[in-house]
Amino acid sequence: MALPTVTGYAGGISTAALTNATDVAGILTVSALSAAHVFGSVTMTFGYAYATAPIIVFTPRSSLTSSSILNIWVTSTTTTFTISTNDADLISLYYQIIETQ
Amino acid sequence: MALPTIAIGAGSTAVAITNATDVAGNLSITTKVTAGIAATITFGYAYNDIGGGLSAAQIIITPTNAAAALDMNKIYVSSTTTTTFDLSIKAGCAASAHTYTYHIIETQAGNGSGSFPGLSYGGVPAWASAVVTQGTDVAGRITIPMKTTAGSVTITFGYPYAVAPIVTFTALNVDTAVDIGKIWVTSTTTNFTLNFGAGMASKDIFLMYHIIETQ
Repeated sequence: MALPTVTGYAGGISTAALTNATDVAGILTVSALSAAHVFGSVTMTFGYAYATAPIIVFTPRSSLTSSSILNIWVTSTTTTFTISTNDADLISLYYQIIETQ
Repeated sequence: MALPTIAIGAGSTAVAITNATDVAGNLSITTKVTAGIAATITFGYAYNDIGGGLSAAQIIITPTNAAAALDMNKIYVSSTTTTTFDLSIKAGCAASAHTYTYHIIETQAGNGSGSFPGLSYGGVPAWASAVVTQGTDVAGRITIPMKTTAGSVTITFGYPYAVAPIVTFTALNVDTAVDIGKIWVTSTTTNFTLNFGAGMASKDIFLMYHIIETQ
């Protein structure tokens, strides 16, 4: 079975990791923004493409992420999802994905 | 197939729903700065629980743009029925387009058979009055009388998972939304723990949770 992978970075993020991750649910850990950056994003590519951009929710799994939660959001396409932030702290999230139409 | 619809409320100036079903979808809400119901979503089909009577579904929302993220301490699910749910805003939201995703999982009203989640507590013994309602190992609601000191509440699954599952939650009242930046969740194969940082208001926290197995 093909699993999701981290495939892209933008802004001040250069490191991220997926744990126990599938195209339906998993854990994402993202490094803190590097100095001089006020925005960063990380993109994950699904193991298999969806027919329509799927619906993604997330929840913080650390105190530091919770305190940054007002600065984190998610977007998706049929083949990827992207977590964006304009907060400098380390991010650790649970994500869940449901297909739509 | 009947699909959900969205109606504007007093707390917004425009609303839209896209790629939406009774299970998941996208919401766009142009919020006002004043408090009120921002939108009411009506399901294509009513939720219910044949075994235990009528039961409202469990709903999770997540921001998909920066404006929505910034106001996550001012937006919450204010009402749920078997046929609708309301999103409300607290005063002070930015008057701008907020976009969200939502997930919906059906649950049960009555624990007629099988093993259901139980509760244990860490940090503050007075939290022993926390209550799980409509709770299964997949979705449910938790009410916790909050203290200003840090602590946690652990919910033990009725049946263990093979791998620690993925847990999400959403605020179900305004007091929970206000303190959303002090709440996080962790899980093991046998339980999940809601953690609370110091400095929360002494109000009732009311959350909905979803759990999905992973590998």
